[in-house]
Amino acid sequence: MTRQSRARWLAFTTALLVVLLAALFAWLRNLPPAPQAGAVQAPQVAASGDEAGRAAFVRAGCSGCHSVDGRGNPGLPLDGVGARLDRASLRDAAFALGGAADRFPPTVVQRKRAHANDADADALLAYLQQLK
Amino acid sequence: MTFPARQTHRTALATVLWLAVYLLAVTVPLFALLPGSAQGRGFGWDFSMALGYAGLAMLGVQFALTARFRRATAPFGIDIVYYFHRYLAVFALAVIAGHYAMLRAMHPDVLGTADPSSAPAHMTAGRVALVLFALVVGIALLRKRVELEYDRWRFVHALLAAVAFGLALWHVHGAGRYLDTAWKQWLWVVYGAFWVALILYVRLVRPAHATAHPWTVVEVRPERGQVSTLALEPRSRAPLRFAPGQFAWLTLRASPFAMREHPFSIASSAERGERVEVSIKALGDFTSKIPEIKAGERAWIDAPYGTFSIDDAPDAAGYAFVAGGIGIAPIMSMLRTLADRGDGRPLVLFYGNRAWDRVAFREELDTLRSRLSLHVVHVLLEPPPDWTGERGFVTEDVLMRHLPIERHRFHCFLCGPTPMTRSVEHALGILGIPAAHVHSEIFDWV
Repeated sequence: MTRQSRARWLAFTTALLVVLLAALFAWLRNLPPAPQAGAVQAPQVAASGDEAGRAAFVRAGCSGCHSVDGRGNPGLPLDGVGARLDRASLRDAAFALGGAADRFPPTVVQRKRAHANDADADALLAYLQQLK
Repeated sequence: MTFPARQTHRTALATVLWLAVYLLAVTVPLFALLPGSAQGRGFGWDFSMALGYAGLAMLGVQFALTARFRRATAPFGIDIVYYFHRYLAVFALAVIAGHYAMLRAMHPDVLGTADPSSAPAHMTAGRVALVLFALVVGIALLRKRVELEYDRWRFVHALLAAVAFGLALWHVHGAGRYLDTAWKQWLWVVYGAFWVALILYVRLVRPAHATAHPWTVVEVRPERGQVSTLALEPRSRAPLRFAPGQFAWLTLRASPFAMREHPFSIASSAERGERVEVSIKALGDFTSKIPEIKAGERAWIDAPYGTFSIDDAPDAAGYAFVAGGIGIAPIMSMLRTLADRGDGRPLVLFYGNRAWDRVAFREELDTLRSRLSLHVVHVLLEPPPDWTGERGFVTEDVLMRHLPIERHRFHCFLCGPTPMTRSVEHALGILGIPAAHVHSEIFDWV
């Protein structure tokens, strides 16, 4: 084996191991949690198709962290959020205002607040509010 | 192609050790994000995120691979490390592209708009970083084909890579999928800062150190075959200690900060470190200007590097050398060193050239015959009409005619164009030379 081939195979093996370790990381994060007594399955709530609000949602980059109806980041689904929060609380949570800011890391607060005065902020809130 | 016999086991161990260090450097900052993290968001989602983090870490290590840390490169030879850097860059780019492609396929909404005027800045930073990384890799792979000047390419390569890495770090911190606590954010700030500090060390601290230790060109000597020998002496520091066959990074007519150093084999004796000679053939932009260098000019040397040396096989019964053209330079260093040491072991040199009048050092090789037990076999591609020696290439037949019976106890050192090296390696194997006794150096690895 030439020195070049040796380097190529070493690089390939290294990269393959990195990919396998990345897969291991993903697998570990998705191990099923231990069942908790009294846990209740969250009701599945259908989302509405408010196009203007949905567009505002995507434009503001909300889908980077949240999903609605299975679209977007599956980590933090917002299905049913309109039934859980009133409009004022929704505004605080969506734009990290008031006491809600304490719940988010500083970078997230900065990103959320950047959209508080968007022209379509009301459309975004209306969209979230009808997710029941 | 192999490592020296005595070192084979040690090198295999070092390979496993450094591979483990590499994997730890790339994946520990990722796995450190696991404790206290929320439940996963599906295997595909988390796998794509992990590829993004790991890909960025791989690109960080790329800076370390070419930082020329002697301890890390010593077991393998710096040529292998540079090739590793080159191949790994392609794989790292594939890993990062995989991160993007999985999101694009499974969660297109997460990526949002690509329009920089409305997309979050950190997402645009990620996209630009991906494009820049692809550019950096693409240009590096095509550099020789499009005949891009080495110095200019090297500057652009380092600059684009550093900018892309900075943008990728911004993307990770902005997107912050797993950086949901202050300590995790700090971990990745420190991790990113480490690689940035490494870049600053290599580009600023090390050149500053070199600036304080200049060398002087004391002689420029023309040799046959468009080869020039530069003799250099240190102005302030002690003689250079090196093993015969090793090479140096040489900077001429530029500041050490200018990133204009070029690697050349040291051709002089390792027993005379107070005067270092490099023999350079006019082949490219930089090397064709060597004859213009004048005695008295300043130079900077970063040395020694490389594992191609008889000192890695000190117990050999004898040595066979195969040189093609200017590949003779490190072998001259080995022969001159053996002569200075009064070594009496049998030596055979196969020296391939196109024409007799272009055979660099041929007169000195005649002189060395009187000081060493040296048999020189000139092999000419275009011999003169009255030539009675070997002609054509260094083939199995040529090797068999001149290597002694006890050749299996010899160690062989090959330096020349890659096709020559490959065919001679093959022929030596057929002739019963153990693979662990065959040492070579890649001719043009930058």
